[in-house]
Amino acid sequence: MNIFKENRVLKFLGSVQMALPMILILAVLLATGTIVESRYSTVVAKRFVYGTWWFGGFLILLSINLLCSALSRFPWKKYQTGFVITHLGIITILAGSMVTQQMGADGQIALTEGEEGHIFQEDKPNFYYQIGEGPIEQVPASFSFRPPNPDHPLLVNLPEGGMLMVDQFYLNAQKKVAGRVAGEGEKGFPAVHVNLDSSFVHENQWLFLGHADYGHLDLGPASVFFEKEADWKKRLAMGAKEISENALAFLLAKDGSLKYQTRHRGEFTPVQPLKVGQDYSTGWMDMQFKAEERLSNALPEETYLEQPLPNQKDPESAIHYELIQNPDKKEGWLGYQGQTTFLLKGKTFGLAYGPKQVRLPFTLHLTKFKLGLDPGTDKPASYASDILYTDPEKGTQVPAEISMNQPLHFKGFTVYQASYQPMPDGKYISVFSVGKDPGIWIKYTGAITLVLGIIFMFWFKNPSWGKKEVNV
Amino acid sequence: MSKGNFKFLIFNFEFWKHFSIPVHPCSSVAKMICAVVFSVSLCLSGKGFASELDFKTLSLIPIQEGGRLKPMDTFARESVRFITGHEEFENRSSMDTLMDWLTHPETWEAKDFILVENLEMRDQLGIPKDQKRVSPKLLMHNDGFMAFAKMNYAKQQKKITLDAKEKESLAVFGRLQKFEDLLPGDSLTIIPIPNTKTYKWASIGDLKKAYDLDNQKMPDAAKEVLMTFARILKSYDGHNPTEFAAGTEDLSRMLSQIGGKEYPDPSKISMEVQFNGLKPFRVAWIIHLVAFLVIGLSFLLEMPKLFKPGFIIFIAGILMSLYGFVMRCLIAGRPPVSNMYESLIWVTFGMTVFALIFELIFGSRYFALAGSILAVFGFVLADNVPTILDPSIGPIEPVLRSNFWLTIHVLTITLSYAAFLLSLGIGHVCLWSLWKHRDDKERLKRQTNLLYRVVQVGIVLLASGTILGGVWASYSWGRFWGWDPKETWALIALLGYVAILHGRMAGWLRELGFTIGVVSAFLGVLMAWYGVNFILGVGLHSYGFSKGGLPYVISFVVVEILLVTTVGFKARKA
Repeated sequence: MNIFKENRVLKFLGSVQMALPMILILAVLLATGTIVESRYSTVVAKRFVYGTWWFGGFLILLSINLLCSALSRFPWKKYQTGFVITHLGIITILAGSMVTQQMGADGQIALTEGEEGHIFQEDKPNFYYQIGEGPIEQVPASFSFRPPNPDHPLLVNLPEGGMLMVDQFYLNAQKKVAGRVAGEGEKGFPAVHVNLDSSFVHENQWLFLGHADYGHLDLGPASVFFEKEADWKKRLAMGAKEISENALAFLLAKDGSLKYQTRHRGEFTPVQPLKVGQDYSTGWMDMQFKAEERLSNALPEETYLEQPLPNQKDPESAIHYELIQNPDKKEGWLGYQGQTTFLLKGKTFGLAYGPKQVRLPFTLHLTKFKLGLDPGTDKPASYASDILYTDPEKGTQVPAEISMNQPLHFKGFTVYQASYQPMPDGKYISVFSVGKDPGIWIKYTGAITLVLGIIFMFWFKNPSWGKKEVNV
Repeated sequence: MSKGNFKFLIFNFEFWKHFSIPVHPCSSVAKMICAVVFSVSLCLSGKGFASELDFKTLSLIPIQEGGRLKPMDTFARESVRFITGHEEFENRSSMDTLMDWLTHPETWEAKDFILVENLEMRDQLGIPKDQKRVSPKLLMHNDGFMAFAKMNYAKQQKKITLDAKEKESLAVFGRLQKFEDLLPGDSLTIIPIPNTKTYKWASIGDLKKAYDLDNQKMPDAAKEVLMTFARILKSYDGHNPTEFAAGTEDLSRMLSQIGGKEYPDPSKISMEVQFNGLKPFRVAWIIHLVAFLVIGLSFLLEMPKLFKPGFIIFIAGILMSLYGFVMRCLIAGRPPVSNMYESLIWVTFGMTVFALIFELIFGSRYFALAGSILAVFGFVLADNVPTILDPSIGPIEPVLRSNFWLTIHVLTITLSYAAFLLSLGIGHVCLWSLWKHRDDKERLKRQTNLLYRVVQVGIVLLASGTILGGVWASYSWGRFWGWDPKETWALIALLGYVAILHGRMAGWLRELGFTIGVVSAFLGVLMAWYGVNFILGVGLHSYGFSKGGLPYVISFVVVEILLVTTVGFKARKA
């Protein structure tokens, strides 16, 4: 008596009539996933295909199909050994993946030489807030299922009254900085709205004199500056340090008028007066420029505009928040990995939007990063990191080397050498992948079972297949 | 080309003093160098005579480039291929072209020889769409292009993804830069005095700069090397075979004297030159073509006696590619797992070995037939599209290095492709039978059984190879499975074959269905093998069909689909 044979539903669930369409559908789904990935990015493919509820559901259905197909043939005959082992192997692999997904962790930690760290970042967006000196609260904000909008915002009721909400989410957004006339009592910057044009390049940007982020524009082989004429002249007198070979400088003269100077292959042209709205040539990159507008006291205003998903690039998401402390309210945008602090009704609020922070059960200290090159080239041949890891219970520091194929295993976590980044001061940042995969041994077991099963199946002849052929 | 890393000081001048190579009683070394190296281009360029020059000695001089030591011969072939897209540009040998570049730079500055593949890029550069190459002058005087390329370089450094046109600008710029670096001798790193830090040898360009900086301080041996090089250029320019031979002999002797014990083993260098000249994979496809014709005749004329000689020729072809393969591994010092070219020759070779083994077991003649013709296709392809399938031997990514399990994983996966490639061939034999001998049930059954056997081998290898990939990824990246397109497509290809097995088991697919299924399932392999790197890799929307050979692959797919449908319809009707 086998219920998998008797029950019609279970029988169908274990049938080849069910299996074959499922295999084909899975192939199509996966193909779609890879196309989405190549068109957009890994993040987008995870969000819309591999990481969705229906994809997970489909894999569960496939497991049921595999299980029923194996069980419905019970009691197994000798020639079915390979078949049963193979199918149980696949189920084991899928089960192992489920364990990994539920209980595993996968993130990155980047350390500069000499730095110590114990927090790694998982690529799962979170929204953070902190009131005064209180604890930092973490709210999941990947919004993969139902993104918030002004009608259905993500609401957080703050313990001390008031409300924090995320009322807009753009999966891909572009920061737009525009000049806004500073209000009364606000200290702004002189600003020009610059337009650069060539047959290859179009740039449209605001430059704010003296602003740390928007004071100058780097085009790669050339740079654009906006400075006070006197300061600029001082810089040139000091040897024109940090000015690229090709450059364009907008200059604010003492009398308040605008001038400009260009530099081409290291040679400066004389300073010329500049008229707003008129085209000039930069002398490099075959490029025209003009100042479209100027403001004498302006502030940069960051907004985000929703963009179509970028091609072959991870999207850059942004959220819009609103903090209500009746009757006051503060709203604004946060790009991914952005943060802000402000005062509202006498309290300090800190908000941030970025990857999930996870604490390691031990501390990593990067002593030295070692880069090996191919002889006569600057191509990296190998890289490795000398580290010290601290065992919190014993309080001792243990030295270890982590290299490309030599990870560190400690307390259920594995730390791998992922990549590196040279710093301007000659030091290196070493990037490690940090993973916890409790399902790995289940997956290994399933994998070995699966391969053994296939070999069994093909090497030990299956009599029923022969019969089928005779029937032809 | 502001590289700015003038490492004159890498010379240990003390070192040179140990060498007392007699300086020729030349009135003024300096004058000679100035006269020859820097203004030799005043002379008229002369073609034709150059063929009398013997490049043998020069081609055997080791050069340090691209992370390894290689003969000048390889360097010349790679440089000419890289810049022009062809190893033999305008029917001259690579060595000849290289020497001409060095001797007559001015003539070449104005000549159209730098490859531009992207059609849109050609348009933007203001050349007709059917003009494949441009001159260095045209590129260097196009400020817009130069700035565009530099900007894209900056973008690439910031790890920003580039689109097809942006990538092409970098490729073209790279070709221009390679040429421009050749001229002052900067890339001729043939002087075996390694920098203690980077192990970089010194180049002819370094010598020139050191000479310009302070020729008094320069050791005689260094001047001698520089002068000998100038002598070679001069004799090349004057088409003087005797002087050219003497010059190259002298240079070779001096360099090996300087290198001493550290200088590469001449036998290894000459092995590589021999490999370059012989082109074993080209010879192999010719042998396989002969084998195919003889075996094909044995079928056509129904003369089984002809099969044996054909089979022996087939084995000779396998031995030839085996020889090429072993040579390549010895030269590279590693198994061939790093790029599309290497995987194509490995898969083709593996396929012929499978065909041989199956032939020996089953003795059906079909395996040798399918194996030989597929080998012709595989090796011809590998031999003829160097810009897509780059045959140069280079160092591999750090992550792929000295990793036993990775090597096993890649070789297993690619061997499964080899088995599936053979199944494609046998599948065509079955299609032929379905077309011609529809009523011969016995024959059809026998053939599909053979097909089934090959597919089984492929499935075992693909399943275990994919899993080995997971094991390796888990071991060195911490991720068993990450939905990476390469692994996902390997899985899709596997699912394709698994679906066919289930269909066969359920009795839904008989001879016709099974054959059509196996032939179609190869598209999955094609996608996992080629498509992921060349179609998904560059993006579905990319322009520039000239990049990556997509038209060939699409035509192949279309022909296969037509073939399968036609046979399907015909067999159904019967």
